[in-house]
Amino acid sequence: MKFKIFHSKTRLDGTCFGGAPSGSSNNLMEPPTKRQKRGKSNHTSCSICETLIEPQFSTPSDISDRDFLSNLPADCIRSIFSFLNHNNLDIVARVSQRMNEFSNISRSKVAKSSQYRVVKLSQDKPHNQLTIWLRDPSEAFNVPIFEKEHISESERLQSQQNEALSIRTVPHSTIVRLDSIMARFKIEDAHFEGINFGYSMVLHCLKWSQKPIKFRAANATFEEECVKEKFLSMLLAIEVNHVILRESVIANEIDNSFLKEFCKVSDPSIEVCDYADWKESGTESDLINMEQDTLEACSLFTILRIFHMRVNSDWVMPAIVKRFRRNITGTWNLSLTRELTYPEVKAVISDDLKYIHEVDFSGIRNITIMMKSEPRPKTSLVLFTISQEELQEWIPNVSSDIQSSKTPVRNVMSEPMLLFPCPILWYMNEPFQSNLYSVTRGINTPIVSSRVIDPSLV
Amino acid sequence: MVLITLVSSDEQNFPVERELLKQSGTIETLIVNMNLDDEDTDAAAMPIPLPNVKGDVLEKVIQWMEHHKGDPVKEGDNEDNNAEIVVPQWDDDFFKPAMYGSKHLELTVAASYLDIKNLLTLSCKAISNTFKGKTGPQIREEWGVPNEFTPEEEEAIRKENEWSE
Repeated sequence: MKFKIFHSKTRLDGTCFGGAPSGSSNNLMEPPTKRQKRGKSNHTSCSICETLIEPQFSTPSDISDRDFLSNLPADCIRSIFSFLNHNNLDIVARVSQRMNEFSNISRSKVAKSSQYRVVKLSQDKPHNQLTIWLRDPSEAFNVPIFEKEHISESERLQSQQNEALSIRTVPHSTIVRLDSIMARFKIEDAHFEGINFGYSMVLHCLKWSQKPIKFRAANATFEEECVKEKFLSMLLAIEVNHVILRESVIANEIDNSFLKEFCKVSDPSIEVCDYADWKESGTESDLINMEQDTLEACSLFTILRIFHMRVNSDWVMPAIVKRFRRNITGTWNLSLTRELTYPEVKAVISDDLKYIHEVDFSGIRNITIMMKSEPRPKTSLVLFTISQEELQEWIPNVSSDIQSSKTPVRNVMSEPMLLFPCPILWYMNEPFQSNLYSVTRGINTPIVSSRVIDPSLV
Repeated sequence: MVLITLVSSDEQNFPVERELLKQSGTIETLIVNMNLDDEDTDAAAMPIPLPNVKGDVLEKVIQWMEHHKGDPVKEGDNEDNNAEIVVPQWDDDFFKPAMYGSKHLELTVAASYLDIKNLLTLSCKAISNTFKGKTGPQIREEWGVPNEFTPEEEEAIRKENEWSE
């Protein structure tokens, strides 16, 4: 018996990486295959995919007529493998090249383990060592090291001689390892630190069967300039909800068109470098002007930290009110074109902020919207001073038993934080301190900071 | 009782009860397209050619369909309940003699081609059961699969999956 089989150049999982689509065989014995359901990715066929995915095996498979198992049509192998778990697939992956190929494809249909939720790939520059970390859901402790890949001595010498070579592109073996992790665990948070992204790495991210909710890249570099564009397209294609790019050379690529595309995911959040990072490397002239329709789209964002973009102050308050009315809470850090004035702010938001207290908005250039339970940023300075009496005045319905418990509101709210070069407004839909939250739970009362810092403190 | 004749690739004729053929999506479609269910059509005079199925395999398929006559036909490709599927004893005994050889795999391919979902499911499940608890080399030996990997490739695959050990 000899079944002619279809061999994709790369993968047969339906996602395009250069091979012809499954089912294109003209062999009659090959049952008609159904077109693979597309994942969320919008990635389409391209020649780059074909050239960049490294061949997995040195010798192409030449299946013997006697190898009935490997000669099975694709649909039959897929069906057989649908009964196997990850451990079984690990075993059959070692049987033949074709079995190996299908074991990889089949993993996307196998139930994923919740054992780990966070994967981190980091590169230790001094030792040029790549490490994959997996973290359990509690994230409290136990961060197992899964891979350490050391640079060879010759590479090390070369990198010492040439600074540009000090960060090497992630090798194929590590990329495959990451694919394997994404196929078997419910990874929600993919974290990359000090990584040099190449085409192959970005393309593999597109293929992940498990799409992370959060994608973090710190100190990221890119093999070539054009990989940046692919990287951003990948972030949009895998529909990640929360992107954090710290000290990244790609920060300035986050522009109006990217934000407008990115806001199409549910509950979008984006954090592009800290203020301190931006201030260190950016100047006024580097700021990207945010377009009005981008800002309108941004009203959907939970967290928006984009210091490198400048927002017209005339547009910002309507956007804040819009998100307030949608009950979207989260931190916003923006650069504004000019200082906001108290009258204009009050005119826009007073109807919504019923309990607004004395607030001096003079000198405001940055606006932060704080989310309940979010840790205070260490790089912020705000004096929250609120007395029991003020609290009671703002929230008349506070219950007597909570009053009598003498919740140390003052202590938790009066710490000086922040270090912005100018005063900022802290604005909340809900109080974020847990004990204050317990006082106001259910009342849904917005509280605005009652005092603005003295600029001379900065 | 209406009989419909199936013709295998090696020109063997198999008259089969119409009712049995409802298990095969492919044949059912052909019957509808050829109007074989119409009273005016002489079904016996219109055999259905199955050029991709050999006579001995088709005979096994018909034998299986006869045993499973009246079973509810599985619809769709719902793989969510695959973990719960158990191969009944009769089917296990039916598959076993030909297991590890071309005959069982030809039966599986025929089930796929003829779109007999229950047969395909049980047959694939029976094959997958033979992998469990084995090593790669053991599976290769049982199924006659030559080793295509270089030692380096074997090591790379082993390393990729090392947490399973």
